[in-house]
Amino acid sequence: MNTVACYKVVADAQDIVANDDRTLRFDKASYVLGEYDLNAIEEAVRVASDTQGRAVLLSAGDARLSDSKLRKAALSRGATEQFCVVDEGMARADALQTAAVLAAALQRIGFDLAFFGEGSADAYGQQTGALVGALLDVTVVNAVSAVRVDGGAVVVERSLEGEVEVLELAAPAVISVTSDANLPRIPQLKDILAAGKKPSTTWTVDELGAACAPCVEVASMLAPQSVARKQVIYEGDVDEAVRSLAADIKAAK
Amino acid sequence: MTRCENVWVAAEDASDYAALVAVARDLGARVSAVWMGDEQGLDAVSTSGAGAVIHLEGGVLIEDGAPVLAQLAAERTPDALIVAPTKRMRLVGACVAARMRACVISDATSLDVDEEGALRAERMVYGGGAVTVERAVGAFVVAVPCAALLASKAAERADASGAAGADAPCAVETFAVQPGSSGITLVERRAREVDAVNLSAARNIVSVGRGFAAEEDLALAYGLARAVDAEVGCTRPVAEGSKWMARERYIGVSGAMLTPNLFIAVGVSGQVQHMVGATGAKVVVAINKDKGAPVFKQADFGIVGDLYDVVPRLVAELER
Repeated sequence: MNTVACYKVVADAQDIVANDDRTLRFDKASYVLGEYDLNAIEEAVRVASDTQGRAVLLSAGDARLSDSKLRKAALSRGATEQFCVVDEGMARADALQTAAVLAAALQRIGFDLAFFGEGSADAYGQQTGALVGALLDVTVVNAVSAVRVDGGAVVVERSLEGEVEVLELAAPAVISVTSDANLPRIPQLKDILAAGKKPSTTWTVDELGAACAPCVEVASMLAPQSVARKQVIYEGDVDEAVRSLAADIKAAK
Repeated sequence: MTRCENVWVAAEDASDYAALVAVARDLGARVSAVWMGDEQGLDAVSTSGAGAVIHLEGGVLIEDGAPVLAQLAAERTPDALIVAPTKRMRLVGACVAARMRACVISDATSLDVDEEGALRAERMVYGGGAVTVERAVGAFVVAVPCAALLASKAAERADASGAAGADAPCAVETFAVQPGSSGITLVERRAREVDAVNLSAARNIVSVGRGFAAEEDLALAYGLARAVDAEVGCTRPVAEGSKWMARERYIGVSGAMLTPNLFIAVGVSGQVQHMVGATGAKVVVAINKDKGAPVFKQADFGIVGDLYDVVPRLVAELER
């Protein structure tokens, strides 16, 4: 089966700095592959390899996508080729706009199974995979924790709140996997070196004819409101510190 | 979006409707309930306070009803669809959104209508590291209230209605669903063993971080929890990385809006993605051997010390 894994390049949440007025600074942030997307890549590569198919990667984003380190980070995980839709507007795209671009690209690439992670590491709306599948009018399922391809049949396990479903999917299908689906590999140096030689194709949104109107705009983004805490911290003599803290806890209980 | 007058709500569990209807009514909307389950549930849904019920009947999976629901939405043009925050309903919501060329506002911690009549939501991004205000600017949007928002509406409604009981049943329209139209065939369904912990209802919480070196050492945390009558939760690396605890116990953006009396962070460094869960706590206590750990800036009381030394002594002192 030919598979495509979709991924997003995001600012590392740990590098975001909050100013005193709650505005955020991203200038120190490093950009990384979304951590949930690593599960999508791993699953796409495994399924393709088990079924003598080909696994390729797809992403949409701004110019950062073309960064060679990030390209290698993605291609060092077993896929053979990469497709990127690079457009400055993608940084502000809402989920529908992103999904429309990915759907158009997937149509051009062709696939039996397309994989997404459970959500992006930044917005975590958990909807892009579902939107893409619905836009393409193919089978679409989320919360998939295991994928098995038996002959031509695609059977998945889906972990819902209180139950597990075993489902057979008509291909082509778009599947969002959970982080329980697999353990993403840690690329070795030789994988990273080999990744530099793999083919990469870049499209623009216009080339795909995939522009659409926005549905949701972000009016503001701020650091969470912080709560003032007393910050009474005991150091030094452990017995005394423990006695003091126990008294505080008893008073609070 | 310039109005929010006609809102549809949908869930897979009939008991979620009263709260969903309350969320939609707070927006000033006429509310229609979409029910894709069985007859028994239909009775509960039709007395949940909605003005009308759209019953989609005949699917094996709720997902089979998504194309019919999307078609109905395209014909009747509601302003929004609000779905319960379950995985299945997120998928159904996204399928309707795609048909309507719209998107989903997921896990809204608040929902209202702004001056221009647009649906407006607050939600967390970057794992709790930031809060956004998002506005619907198209003709239609799907919104998913976060579990805590839904729970607070359910509680409000329970208080208000008191002994009055359920609303009078409303009109029900029924539409046929083609089984299997989702392209998904159900092979088997089995109960999942879930850790039935409800941290949002816990009076006190002990939270475990990566300061614990081995899984068996968690006994220390459980001992402390017993001493202060607390539930035990953890940071994401403890649940997802080491898998020492069930995912239901991890405290962070998805389980945010906890409101315990006492939150004791043990071996927790204090990253915002975890501590966002303690924002609503009355008193925060931290135990960490690193004096510079960010957790101390977010604590009312704390001890700089090795948890392996401090926790047993603290338990003894508390039990004295």
